[in-house]
Parts: sequence; C-alpha cells; structure tokens
Amino acid sequence: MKIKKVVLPMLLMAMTTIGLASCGGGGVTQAEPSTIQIRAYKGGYGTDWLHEAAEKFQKAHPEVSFDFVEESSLVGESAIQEIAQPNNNHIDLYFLSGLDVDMLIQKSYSALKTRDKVLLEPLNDIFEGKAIDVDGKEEEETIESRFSKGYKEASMYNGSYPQWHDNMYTLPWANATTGLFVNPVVLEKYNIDIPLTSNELKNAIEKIAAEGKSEGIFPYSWAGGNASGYWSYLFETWFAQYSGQQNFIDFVNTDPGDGDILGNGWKVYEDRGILEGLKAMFDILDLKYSSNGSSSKTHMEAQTEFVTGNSAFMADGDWIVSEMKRDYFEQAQNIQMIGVPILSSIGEEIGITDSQLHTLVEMIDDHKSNAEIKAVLPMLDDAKIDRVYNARSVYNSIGPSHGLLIPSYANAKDAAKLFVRFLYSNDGCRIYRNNTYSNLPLKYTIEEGDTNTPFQQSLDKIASYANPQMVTSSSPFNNVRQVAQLYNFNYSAWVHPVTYKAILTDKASASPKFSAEFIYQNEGTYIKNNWSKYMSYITWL
Amino acid sequence: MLNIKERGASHMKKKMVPSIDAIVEEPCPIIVLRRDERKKYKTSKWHSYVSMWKKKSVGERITLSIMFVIFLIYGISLVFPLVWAFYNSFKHTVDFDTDSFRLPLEWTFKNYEEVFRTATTGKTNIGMSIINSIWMSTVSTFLGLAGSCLTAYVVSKYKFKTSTFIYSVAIFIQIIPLVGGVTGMYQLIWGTLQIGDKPWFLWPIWFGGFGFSFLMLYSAFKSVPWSYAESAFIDGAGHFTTFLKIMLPTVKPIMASLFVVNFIGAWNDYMTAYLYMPSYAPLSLAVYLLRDDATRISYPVYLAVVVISVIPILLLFISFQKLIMENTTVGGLKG
Amino acid sequence: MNNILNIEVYGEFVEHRVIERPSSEIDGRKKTRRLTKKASERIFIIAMLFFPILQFVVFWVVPNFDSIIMGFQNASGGFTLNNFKRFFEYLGQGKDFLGQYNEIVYAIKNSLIYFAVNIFISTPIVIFFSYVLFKRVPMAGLFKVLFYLPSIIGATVTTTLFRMLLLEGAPVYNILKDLGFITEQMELLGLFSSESTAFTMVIAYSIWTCVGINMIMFYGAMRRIPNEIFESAEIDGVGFFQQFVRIVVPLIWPTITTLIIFSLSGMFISYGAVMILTPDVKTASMVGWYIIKWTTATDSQASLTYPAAVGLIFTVVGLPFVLLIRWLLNKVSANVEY
Repeated sequence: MKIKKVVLPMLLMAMTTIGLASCGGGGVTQAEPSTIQIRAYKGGYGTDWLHEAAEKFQKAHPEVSFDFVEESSLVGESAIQEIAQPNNNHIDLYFLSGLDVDMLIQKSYSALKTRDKVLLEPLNDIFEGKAIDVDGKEEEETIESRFSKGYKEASMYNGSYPQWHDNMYTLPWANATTGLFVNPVVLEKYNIDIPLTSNELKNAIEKIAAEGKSEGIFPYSWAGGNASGYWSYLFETWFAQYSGQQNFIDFVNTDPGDGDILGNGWKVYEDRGILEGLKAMFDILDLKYSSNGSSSKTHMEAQTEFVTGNSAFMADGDWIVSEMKRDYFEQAQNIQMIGVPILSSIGEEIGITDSQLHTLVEMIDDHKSNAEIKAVLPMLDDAKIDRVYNARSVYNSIGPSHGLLIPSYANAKDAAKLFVRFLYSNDGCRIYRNNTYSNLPLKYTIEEGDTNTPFQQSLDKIASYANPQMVTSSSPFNNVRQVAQLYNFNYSAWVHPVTYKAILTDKASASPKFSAEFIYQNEGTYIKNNWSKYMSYITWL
Repeated sequence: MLNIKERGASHMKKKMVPSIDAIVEEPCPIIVLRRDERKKYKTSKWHSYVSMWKKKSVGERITLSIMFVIFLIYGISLVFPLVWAFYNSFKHTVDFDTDSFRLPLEWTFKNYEEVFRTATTGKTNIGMSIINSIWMSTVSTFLGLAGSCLTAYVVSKYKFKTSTFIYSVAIFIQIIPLVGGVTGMYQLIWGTLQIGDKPWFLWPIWFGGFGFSFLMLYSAFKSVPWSYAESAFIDGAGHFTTFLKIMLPTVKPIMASLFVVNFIGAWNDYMTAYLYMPSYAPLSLAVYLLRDDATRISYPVYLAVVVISVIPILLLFISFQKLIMENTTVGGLKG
Repeated sequence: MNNILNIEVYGEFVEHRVIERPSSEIDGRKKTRRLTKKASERIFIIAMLFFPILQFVVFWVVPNFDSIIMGFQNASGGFTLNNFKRFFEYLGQGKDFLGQYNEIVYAIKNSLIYFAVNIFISTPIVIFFSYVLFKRVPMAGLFKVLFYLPSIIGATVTTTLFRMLLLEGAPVYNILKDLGFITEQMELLGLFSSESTAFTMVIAYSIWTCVGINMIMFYGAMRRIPNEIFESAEIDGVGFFQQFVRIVVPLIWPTITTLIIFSLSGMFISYGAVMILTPDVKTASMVGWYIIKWTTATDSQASLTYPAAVGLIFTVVGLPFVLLIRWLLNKVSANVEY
C-alpha cells in the first residue's frame, strides 16, 4: 500500500517535470506589433527554410521578432476554424496546405455577422510591389513580373462571392511541381532511356516488370494508403496534352464553353481528352507493376522504396527530396523529374510514328526552331509542331493550394507583409531552394554556393517550359461533389468519380470490367443523367 | 457534542482487519488474518492449488491444459506488439525499414531525443501532450467521481419523491441508443456555447453524475447501514458533515478502484480531445494524429511516441492491479 | 437507558452502544426539530443534486434534443425534410457505374455484422475464457492481467500496432503468409485496402481484443456463485462442460444480459477500429464512424444537419430493437438475483 502511495505521485511528478522541461514554445498570446506569429504546415517542404528566412530577415530588421507555432497536420481546414475567431486568434501569418477561400469567406460572414468585410487581408499590394532583399533594399523588378505564368489568375479570388473578386487573399509559398519522377540508377540498370512518349513509358514499365521481378525491383511505386491521388498528376497532364490546357481547365470548372454550368456542365465529360488520358493510364496501371501492399502504403513508404532504387518511376511532387532528405539524402538527390511523356495517340493523329514522335520531342527539348525540326521531319507543319510543343510545355503544379495568408485583424500585419516581400526576393528564393531543394514560383538566379543537385537541375528544366497548369476549381459542381457522394471523404478523385485505386483494384480482380472506354462512356452518361439532380443539391446547402 | 469521529470511526478502525488484501481476495467468506499469519497463508496457496488440481477429473485436467496452451499463445499475441514497439523504438530508421522483426543492430536513443524535438501535433508538442494527459485524466476522473458521489449518496440514502425516477433515468440512459448525441454535443460546444478548445470552460463536461460510476456507487452506498448517519445526526452533525466524514469514507475501496479504472479510461480517451479540445492533445490523441505523419517523423520515432504514451499507464496498472481486478460486479439491472 | 445494538461491519457483527437521550429532552422541541430536520434535509438534497443535474441538462439533455431538432433544419435554420430525403436517396441509390453502393449501405451492413460477431462469437468466447480462469487454469492470475492489456494501453495504441504489424513486410503479415493465409489477391492489395478483407480486419481486431473488461465482469459474477452449488455438482458427477452450460451460464445470465444490452445500445454509435484501421475504405465503414465523419467534416459544404438526421433515424430504429431484445433476454431465464 505504501509503495503504491509513493509510486503514483512520483510518477506524476516525473512526468510533469519531463513535460514542463520539454514543452516550451508554441504560445498563442497577445504580442507587440513587431512580433510576427506564424503558423506553418510542416510536412512536405518542412519549415527550415522559413526559419532561415526569418533569421536573415532579422538582420535588416532587428526590431522584428518571430514566434512559430508549427504543426505537421494539414493546416488548411483546421486553420479556418481558428481564423474565424478574431477575438481569440493572434496568428499573423499562415502557411497552409489545402485551402478553400470560399469557405473562409463563408465562415468570415458568420463570424463577423456582416457581409461588408472579410477576415482576410488582400495581398495585391505585395504582388504588384517589389521584393526587398536581405539588406532591406527594394529590388528593381516587381514581384508580378517575376512570378510564373498563371499564378496571377490562380491567386485572384473568383469564387462564389463576386463582391470580393480579384482580391488576392492568398499567395503561394511553393511551386509544388508535380508529375513523373525517375530513378536514373534503375533505368540504367535495365538499359532504358528516359521515355519521351507514352508508349515508351509503357514499354519501359513492361521491361522492368519482366526483368526486375527476380531482384525485387518494380517499375513504379505508388501510395494507396494516403496518396493514390498522385496518379492524377499524370492523367491531368495527358488530358491537357491532348485537348489543350484551356480545355482541361474548363473541365475542372465544368465550364462547357457557353457559360451555362447549371444546365450544361455535364458536357465537359464528353471531352476526348478524358478518353485519351484514361487510355494512357490503363496502359500503365496494374498492381503487378508495383510492390505488394502498395495499396496500403503511405506516401513516405512509397517514396522510400522509390528513392532507394527499388523502383524506376513514381508519380509524385517536388517535395520528395525534402521529405526524404532526413534519412536518404544522397539517393534522393539523384532523382529526376522528367516531362510527362507525350501521348502516343497525338503522334498517331498527326501522322508520324512513335520513334518520329520521340525525335520531335527531343528536338523540342533542345529548343530547336520549327525550321530545324521540319528539316528532319518534313511531314510536319507548324500547326502540328505547335501542338506537340504546347503538349510538352504543360506541367502540373499544385502551388496555389500551398497558400500563405494574413488575417485582416492581424496585429503584425505590416511586419508580416514586409516579411513576405522578403521571401519573394531573390535572396528569399535562394534560401527556399537551398533548404527544400525545390522552387518558389518566381524567377530567380542562383549564386555561388547555392545547391544545384541533379534533382534541382531537372526541376529547373521543367520550369523553363514556363507553362504550369494549376488546378484550382471554382465550379459549383466542385462544391456539390461531396453531397452528390461522387467521392469518399478521404483522398478523392476530385476531377472525376473513378479513383485510380479503384482501377487498380478492378484490374486485379477475377473478372475486371473497367476499361478506358467503359469509364469514359458510363461516367459521362451517369453524370449527364444525374446532372439536374446534382445542381438541385446546391439549394440544399 | 460528542466527537463523532471518535465514536463512529474509531469503532470501525478497531474492527478493521490489518490485511485488506486478504479480505478483498475472497468476498465471502471473510478470512481475517494477522500479519504474521499471512506468510503461512501464502505458501499454502501453492499446496492448496496442487491439491485442488489433483482433485480434478482427468477430462477437466486435459481441457484445462489445452486451454492453458491456447491462453499462452493468445497472451503472447497481446504482449508481442508492445515488446515489438519497444525494441524498435531504439532502432535506426534504415534498420527498421530493412527488417522490423529482428532486434536492433545498434541500439540508439536518437529517436527519443527527436520525439521531444520535432513531434508536434496541432499546437502541442510531446512535452505538452504529456502534461495534457496528466491534467485531463486527473481532472476528469476527479470531477466524474465527485459528481457521482454527490448523486449516488443522495439518491440511495434519502427518500424523496424523485429519487427512484432519477435512478431509472440513470439506467435508461445507459441502455437507450441515442445515436445523435455526438452531433448535438459538437453543435453545443462549437456553435452555441463557443467553448470549443477552452478547457477552462469545458471542464463541466466531466462533472457528470449519472454514469457508470453512479451505478457502482449507488449500490455501494446502498449497502452501508443508515444507522451510522443516524447516530451522527443524533450527535448533532448536519447532513453534509455526515456525508463527508462518516459515509464517504465507508466506500473508499470502491472509490479507489473506480478512480483507477476511470483514470486509465480517461488517459486513453482520445475522442474528447479530438472533438472538443484539439489544441490540447493528450498522448492518446497525439498517437492518433501522428499516425498520418508517422512517416514524416519516421516509424521508429513514432514507436518511441507510442512507448512514451504507454509507459505511465502500464506502471499505474501494475501498481494498482489488484484493486482493478476486484472491482466490479454488474448484476441484473432491473428497471 | 443504554441499548446495545449489533450492527454489521465488514461482515462481522460488532457491538455498538447507543446512548438514547431521555425523551423528555426531545419532546418539547419535537415538532420544531422535525420541521427543521425535514427542511434541512430538503436543502441538503437540492444542494447536492443541483450541479450534477444542471450538468446533465446542459450536456446530455440539450445536445440530444438539439440533435433531433437539427435533423429537421437546413443550413439557415429553417424547417426542412431534405436531410431525411438525402439519407433515403443515398440508401436507395443502387449501384453506381463502378458497381458500388453508397457508403451508408455498407455502414449499416457492417454495423450489424460487427454487432452479431460481438454477441455470437466474442461474448461466448469471453464467457468461456472467464470460466476457464474461474476453474483455476494454471497461471490464471497472470492471464487475467495479460488479457486486460489492450484495455490498459488504450485503443489508439492497440489498433495502430495491430495495423503496423499486418502491413506488407511486417512480422505478423509474414507469419500469415508463411502459413498460407494470404492469397495472391490479398497480397497485391494489402489486407487493409482490398475491399474483401478490409472489414474482416476490423472484425478480427474486435475479436482479438474482446477479452478484457467483460472478462472481469463475468469472472466476478462467477465468483459470487456459492461454492456449495459446485460441490454438490461434483458429487453428482456433473462434468466440466456440463457445469458450464447447466450451472454457470444460467446463474450469471443477468450479467450476460446486461452486457449484451450495453453493447447493443452502442451498435450504431461505436466505430470499432474503423477510424484507425480502415478509414478510407468505403466498404469497411460503420454507422458510428459515418456520423463522426460527417460531424467533423470541414469542407465548404459541411453542415451538422445531415449527421443529426442520420443519428435520429438510427435512434428511432434502434430503440424498439433494444427494448425488444431486452424483453426477450429477460424472458429466457428466470431472474436469479446477485
């Protein structure tokens, strides 16, 4: 009895001491206007870059101090709850992942009980202004002029509340380039060149599947547990390659071209880009091409497998090195991002063979002029070359969903804005690069001593095409998808109902019934038949 | 006024047997032993077991032996995950990725260091989670027991018009499946009262008086003779003093075991914090939230978090194990 | 006058001296004293019960009523039956072009299966295990502690470890593979993702951890059966299993009934281990988890009115079911009070 009476209090005391000793940090309290309180998403790119940027910023602005309240879960949704409580919230600057400005505005209305203002600070002045460098001097070019194409449109709000259109409530803090990554070590092992056409990709996968099986090496890795949606990076790019980038964006917005989303939005599901994209997906999606249990793997496990040379390809994003650098630094730096191979069906349509398509793409990559290309491939005209050129220049980016924002009631608003201008400066971009091995979506030049690994070089090459497509949707259909139960809560196929995991599962079953045509036909019909029902759901909400 | 404490309590003290363990081991009949007799009792335990075994039929012995093996396998299956988590928390990541079954090639404390440095969930790091676990479990258990004591005592001991009604309601709410409760509570806390994420306002949710503890304490109080209270009244004590000084001490054993059981339950409760106090994540919730990021901090580090969250409660259990095991009987609940 | 009363203390009768005050001392003040006594009693009762009852009203009565009301509201607070309409639409949706039903269909099916397993598989196992422990299997004390372990270390840790050990490449998975339990299908997809095995894993988990708190209840109930019954059974030659079936089970029937009722009433509320093991597999969903997901959803069209309506529907369905089962169970065996 006595022992028990002693053990329990001692235990509690010990734990309290450990707890107190190690807890520290993370306060959400009132502070002076010169203390910037930051809450940042710690996954993916980490926050080392932010800390270094804060340190360097303080050199020129010693009166400013920083307070980091970090977290590793997806901050977007939970942060909304917090931002909507102006009396309780003291965070000045958020770095989020996954963002819904419509919802922020909605919550803002109910929190402020008025529709005359919103809780978010417009950041247009930052975008249109100039960055400040590490010594506190203004740069010469405006931030806008250095920003990658498409970000202006993506950052301007144009959702359900027209009153606030054209305000930039969020700006991106990552370029988040996504697409196809290769492990060159594995490709070399099986004597495979980097695929430039989708058929070549398919052949490469089949070859590795046959030859690598005995050694436990698979064509690709994927994460069925929490990231099966990564496959969409390939599908979306293929869609845009085939139909053109604008058509893809219209598809995402369910904009049939005549502006009548409510009546005709379903028509976007008739776009042939879906069929071609799905055909290419079906060519490569098969559970036999990945290791067992990939359906349950988390993205980290899949990335580990990929980076350590157990597979050749992975559909992923440029955070891969940042996430893997802790334990697999060297291997990760050898990973390369390649342009998504051009759909072979495009080659067929313009009347050339696959190997000719390969040559064409190669020359485009080498920045050869149309004249030079026509010299080698005389059957092509300008229109056809441009088609392939446009296809090649498209790359996927989910940068806009990595948004930073400042609440309108923030104490340290001005200091926070100043800090963001520093982040976007050349110096800021370099800090970001050196820590995350990926890029902010702005033009910048690197200097002596900056990192320049093969991985980064491959990213730079992709970015040089300068035609990112960003997938933010303002379609009412997007809002209705959940009610329409067109996807599960977690890891949805938000662009169209079928999930890649479902395709893979079906293929592995005893009697598979899916095919690209099947999905294209049935999905289109299904959505068409239910379209008015879906649109009626809007009034329920 | 006579000293009630002396009158009532001292009687009980005198008759209180020195070995409380001996009593609670066998609810009936009572074996009252002096301390020096305990040793004899213990060694003869083995002999009595063997002689009891000898009395069993062959069939029974075979059945029990088979069940013994089954129990052994089952028991190992329950312990193995913890052991696995333990030794893997000392592994390097690459070692773990290669083979998670073998013992570590090289034992390292690096993971534990890293837990305190980098594992954060929401606004809390592991250090704060530990503190949250401690205060949440203590406060909720204490409040829950306090509330139940108040209600159980009054409802069981005093006759008033609504007492049977209250008791029936308490039984009723245990049985009735009110499926929408969570949604209503969520709305109440986040919407109507706006006390979400504010434990200094939220604590009343733990001050319940009609749950399982209530039922336990009700039957415990029921079996305490009312005459204790009566003699206290005669001596001039008020109701409240009687309650505190005479009646409450009689149910100390039940309270103690209820406290421990509820404490363990509260320690492992992740839902309350998940739904209503996400910024104050206790260890149980941290384990859940970090699960997704498990791999951002690498599996062995995550297992270190698991080990940390489990050790206190294991120690607690080992210390109070007898108390817990004795606890309860739930007879037919009529009404 | 001195009275000596024999009052029971811890099972032993102890002498108590009670000194009665001469009635004359009381009589004069009898009436007023009784009045004050009654009044002070009333005040005491009210004071003691005030806060717990207030808490009960605020945190039990209000949320449950509010939930019922919300089920009939739309996002701006007006009256609507749309939430129920939505529920039945999902239910009757039929297969989509992928060949799957709406999640709610699977949730209902799984909750029923989960509960049935609980009643017909887990409970008998626990009762029998308790009986074996009661019959003093070797190392019974140690086993009691071991079996209680999952309840001690809690659900999050146990489910997480369960899952980690059954992923591809993990030790227990490898053992199962060596024993031949993993088909090629399962291998390709993993145990927690393939739609055929995902919910099975949830069931497996629930059976694996079923012994525990219930064992203590049954064990305690068995211990209170008077020894004489067993002794006379031995004399009559009643064997091990006979004793179990003919004596023990009927005598602890009230306990069994109570536990079945408790688990029954949680049928649509509990989410088993779905939240941690298979949260993203539609076909492994359960009603309790379905409701929690909708309640805590934070995307732009989240609203509490739909899950409130769903909760109401299942309460209305569940209540008569619970009462019916309770009546049936009570009828089955005569009440033996313990």
